[in-house]
Amino acid sequence: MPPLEAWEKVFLGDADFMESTHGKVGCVICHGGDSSIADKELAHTGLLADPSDISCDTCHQDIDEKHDFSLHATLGGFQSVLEARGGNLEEGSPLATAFENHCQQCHTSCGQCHVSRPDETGGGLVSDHEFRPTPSMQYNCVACHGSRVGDEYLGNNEGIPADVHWTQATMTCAKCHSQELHGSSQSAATRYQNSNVVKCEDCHEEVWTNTEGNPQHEQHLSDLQCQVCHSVAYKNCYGCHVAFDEEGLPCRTSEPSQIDFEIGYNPLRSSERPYKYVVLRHVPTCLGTCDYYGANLLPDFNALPTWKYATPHNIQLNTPQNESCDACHGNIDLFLTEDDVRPEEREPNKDVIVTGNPYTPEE
Amino acid sequence: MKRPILAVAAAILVLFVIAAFGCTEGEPAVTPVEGEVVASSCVSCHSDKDLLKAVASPEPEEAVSEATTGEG
Repeated sequence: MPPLEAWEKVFLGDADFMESTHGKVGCVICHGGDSSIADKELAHTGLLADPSDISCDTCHQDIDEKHDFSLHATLGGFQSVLEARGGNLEEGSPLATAFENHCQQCHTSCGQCHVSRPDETGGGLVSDHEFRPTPSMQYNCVACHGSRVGDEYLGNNEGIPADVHWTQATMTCAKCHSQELHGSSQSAATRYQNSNVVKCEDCHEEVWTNTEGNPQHEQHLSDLQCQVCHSVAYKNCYGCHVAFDEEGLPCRTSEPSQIDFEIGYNPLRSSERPYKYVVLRHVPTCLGTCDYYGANLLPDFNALPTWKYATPHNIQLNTPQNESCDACHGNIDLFLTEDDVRPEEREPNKDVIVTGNPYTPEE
Repeated sequence: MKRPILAVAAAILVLFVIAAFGCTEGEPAVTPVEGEVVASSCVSCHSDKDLLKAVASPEPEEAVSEATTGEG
């Protein structure tokens, strides 16, 4: 997504916005500045480009209260796994400094979803100053969530088809992910703990209520996550390291990503997700991710698997593994086995690595 | 005795103002009268493409490390 020119970022091509509910509020009420002065610099004194933090809750308190707990606001998803791996994120600690320098910018505000492009992607108004109840898939959602979920959903991974929800129904992200993105008024350590999280059965209820004539569903609904049968190969990342380069600029390196499909044991097994088998995605983080900032900053790195519960966004009705019973049963290539896991990562992944002859009919 | 009466009257007045002009769902409370005047000069510049191009300060090019590799 090419960045906007400086003038484009603040250009109101359609002044009709001023007739809208938000437009009638007036620019300076939210943004500050002084509109009575013609001089550009003086008029912009004290101006807030993104006033989300102080303006939106004036009228949208109910959403704002939830948003304060959402992962988009708190980055709790990153913090919780770093802490679970023994990381110390207290202010001033080496890991907190690394987080501040390399991770903290991946945060969004009301305006950076509903009005402008996210700061992390250069910012700028998406559609004049229109407040879009549904964020732009292209300029907001995929702008940040592009390299894995976005590429999967849109079919940008070579040889891998796009998700049927996109190819057959042109469903944008918000069709499934709506209120979930505002959080649930409770702190969540991962997106799967959000009580508003979307589930396949929210739309495909009939799959659970009427399995007649579909032996695969009759047999497997309770022990296989939907994606085990209905997603295809997806991206896995490895070896992320953060540092500053010789010129003092923050930098990040990682190994080339790999397109794989790995079924493993469910690391989040619960009444909500009772499946025995799920698809697993490798996380970019490794033991030495933050070594630039100090040695052994994640002393309990092995406390969590590096192959995590995944929900690839490339759903298909027909997939290589659901072509026939034999396409999956006993097909060891589909499963995460010890050989697929780096020796140094076998210990933390011992509970998700499939052992024996996976999923034989008598199991 | 006057002070409590004044305080009650003031409270009623405040409640009335909040009820009349306070936030409701989808209806911002801020009165547009001032805003429209205020907004007009902002909009006159920000809807003039040529003017914006002429006065826009070139943004400092964000320095991106050449050492960065892989995907984010």
